[in-house]
Amino acid sequence: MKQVKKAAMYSLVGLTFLGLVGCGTANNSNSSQGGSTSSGKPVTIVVASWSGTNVTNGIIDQQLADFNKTHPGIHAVYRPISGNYETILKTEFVAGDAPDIITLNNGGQAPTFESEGAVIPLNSYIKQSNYSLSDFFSGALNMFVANGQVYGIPRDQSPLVLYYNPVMFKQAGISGPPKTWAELYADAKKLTNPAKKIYGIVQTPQEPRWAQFVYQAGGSVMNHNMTQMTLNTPAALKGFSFFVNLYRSGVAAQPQDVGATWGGQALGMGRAAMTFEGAWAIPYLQDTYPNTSFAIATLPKGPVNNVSLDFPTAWAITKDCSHPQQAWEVIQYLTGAGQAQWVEQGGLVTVRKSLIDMPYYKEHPIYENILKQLPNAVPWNFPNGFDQYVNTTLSNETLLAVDGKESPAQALQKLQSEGESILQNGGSQ
Amino acid sequence: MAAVQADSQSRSGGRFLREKGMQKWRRQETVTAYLFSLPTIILLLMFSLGPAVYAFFLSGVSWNLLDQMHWIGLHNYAAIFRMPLFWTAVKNSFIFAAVVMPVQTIIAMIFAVIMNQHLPARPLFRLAFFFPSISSSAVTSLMFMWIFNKLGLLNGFLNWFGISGPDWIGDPRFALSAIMILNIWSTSGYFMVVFLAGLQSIPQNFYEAAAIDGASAFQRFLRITVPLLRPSTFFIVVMGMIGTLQMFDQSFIISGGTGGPLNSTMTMALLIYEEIFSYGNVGYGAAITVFLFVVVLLLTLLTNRWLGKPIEY
Repeated sequence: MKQVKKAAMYSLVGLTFLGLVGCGTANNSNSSQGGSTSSGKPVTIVVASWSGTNVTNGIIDQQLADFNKTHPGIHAVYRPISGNYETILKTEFVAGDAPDIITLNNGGQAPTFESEGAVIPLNSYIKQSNYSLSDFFSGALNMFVANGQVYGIPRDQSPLVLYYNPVMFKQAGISGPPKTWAELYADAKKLTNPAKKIYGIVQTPQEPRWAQFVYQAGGSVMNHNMTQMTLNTPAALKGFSFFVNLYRSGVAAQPQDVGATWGGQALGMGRAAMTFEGAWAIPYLQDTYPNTSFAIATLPKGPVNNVSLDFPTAWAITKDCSHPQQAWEVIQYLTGAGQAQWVEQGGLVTVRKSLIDMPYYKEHPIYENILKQLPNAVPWNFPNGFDQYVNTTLSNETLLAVDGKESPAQALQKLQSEGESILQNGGSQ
Repeated sequence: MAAVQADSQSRSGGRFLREKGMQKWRRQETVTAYLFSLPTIILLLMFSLGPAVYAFFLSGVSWNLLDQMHWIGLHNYAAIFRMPLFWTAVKNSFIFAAVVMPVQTIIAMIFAVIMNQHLPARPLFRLAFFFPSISSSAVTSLMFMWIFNKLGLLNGFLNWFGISGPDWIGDPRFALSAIMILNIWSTSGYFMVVFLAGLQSIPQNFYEAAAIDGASAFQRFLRITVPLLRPSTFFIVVMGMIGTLQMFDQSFIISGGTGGPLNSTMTMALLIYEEIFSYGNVGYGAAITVFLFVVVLLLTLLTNRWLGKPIEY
């Protein structure tokens, strides 16, 4: 009797443990699937990116499906990462379980992953397969090259362009989009009607929306090698002051002033006559605000030029990838034949010079001025260690200047010195 | 006589045997209990206590998640205490806790007392007040972003009275207040239920006796309800304090993770997240975690001295 009881108890305790172990094994089998090497089975390559729109997700899915059909030895799967992309990627690197291929982003993300060795140089693979890099727009490609090492093959890009509402322009008696800073200001003033909560320009006050004014005035944010801050020049102050003055004089407003979260939305809501965005706003405006008409122009010319900011992304292979050879084949496909598909699906703007003559662009003239702006654009980039600077410092100082709590010169001075101290500390703290 | 002695001896011998049996049985019982709770203990050690101890370790390293970590001792603490953003976060967290915790406690108590009366449609009201606390804070935050929108519901309502409402979320002077309102709205309902449970345990005859003695309804509330609710109040104050000092999700969603505008919604918990996952300063984040732990521990001990005494009738 006693023994029966004992046996019953131990089996019960055993059962509870089984529950725990069960969880463990379930996870194990999941993770080992990723890098299975058993002969005969195709090698799985996990391709990760931030979860974009349905359009972009669909394009990558379709590209990988096409790739898998023609490459029986490789099984490529797309894993969109929703939420904070870089954060989730970093935790996966800590766990040693990062995807095989990731998308490198602009705004200082690529140099972080490159200089910490999270992504591997592709030079040997490029050489071995005679892969030509000359067709890529140099701005998009150079952002993913460091010390002669190529870390990423460009995926897509978009420069900032001027979005405007032609109906509003017509009503205000303005014949066309502004061509110079002076026209931009004059038009914005004409189009502003604070009583109706309509503004000439609605734009989030942030660095990737004022840096182009600095470039247009002949200045820059950092030097070409990103080893020095260059915001203390008169040209930089000229560009930044022009941007700040748009808000200070009331012809530009922040999106939340009109109940929007970004400039594209404000334009769609009919509360902005102009805004500066990239190609990503096209599908958004067409889907969300089909009744608002919009057109695209190249940026108005500043004292020196009409340079824009460019936002390229690239495919890269991670250090955790156990089959870099197969991963490289996937990247070759995605950036080669896949590029043409990308264009045909109406996703983002091509990174290959040869593709700007594709029929799709002829049939969709809305892209015309975006392609025209392309050769005249500087990629938006920062070196490793600038995460907090890009995320917080830049927007805070911009906001202080736009709110009039600091003069443009004071704000730039702070940005200059904070950037310098990060560079002096060797990038990361 | 001898027979009696023998009898008592045998009886005590029996008791001795029985006690030995009891002890053995108790020990077995304890072992069984531990065996049954072992899975939970393992989970707790792995996912709660382990990471907590690890946070203490991390507060002494320099690491950005991607590079090699190395030990730098107490340097992180020195660095965060010199960082203005840290003190902004501490200030915001304390202001938030100092406003939200008392307000939500008082509102919860008042609503609990009202809901304890025999009002029509009482279950419906109870449901309505409890509902916010069981809905996802991500969803309610998004909902309140629309309410607090410059052209949103709240400002539309204020417009009726000729008040041009501020930009609640975009203006650094109002952003934290907006989150306070959201937080009070979403937590008061839960604490109301705790107070309701506390109210059930107050004997009805106290009120009857007080009524006979001529105490007004307000006096009865102040002299009977409030003091006798102290165990519930203690629980609510401690939970409210911990919850408000650790507020993260609502700030994160409303500010888009940046603690903006101008760091006005940067709380300690949000700064911990930002330092570790966005700025690549794991050591700073861990050091702030330890700081927050010490602060919460001290405040809880203080509250325990103040409110944790048993009720004396």
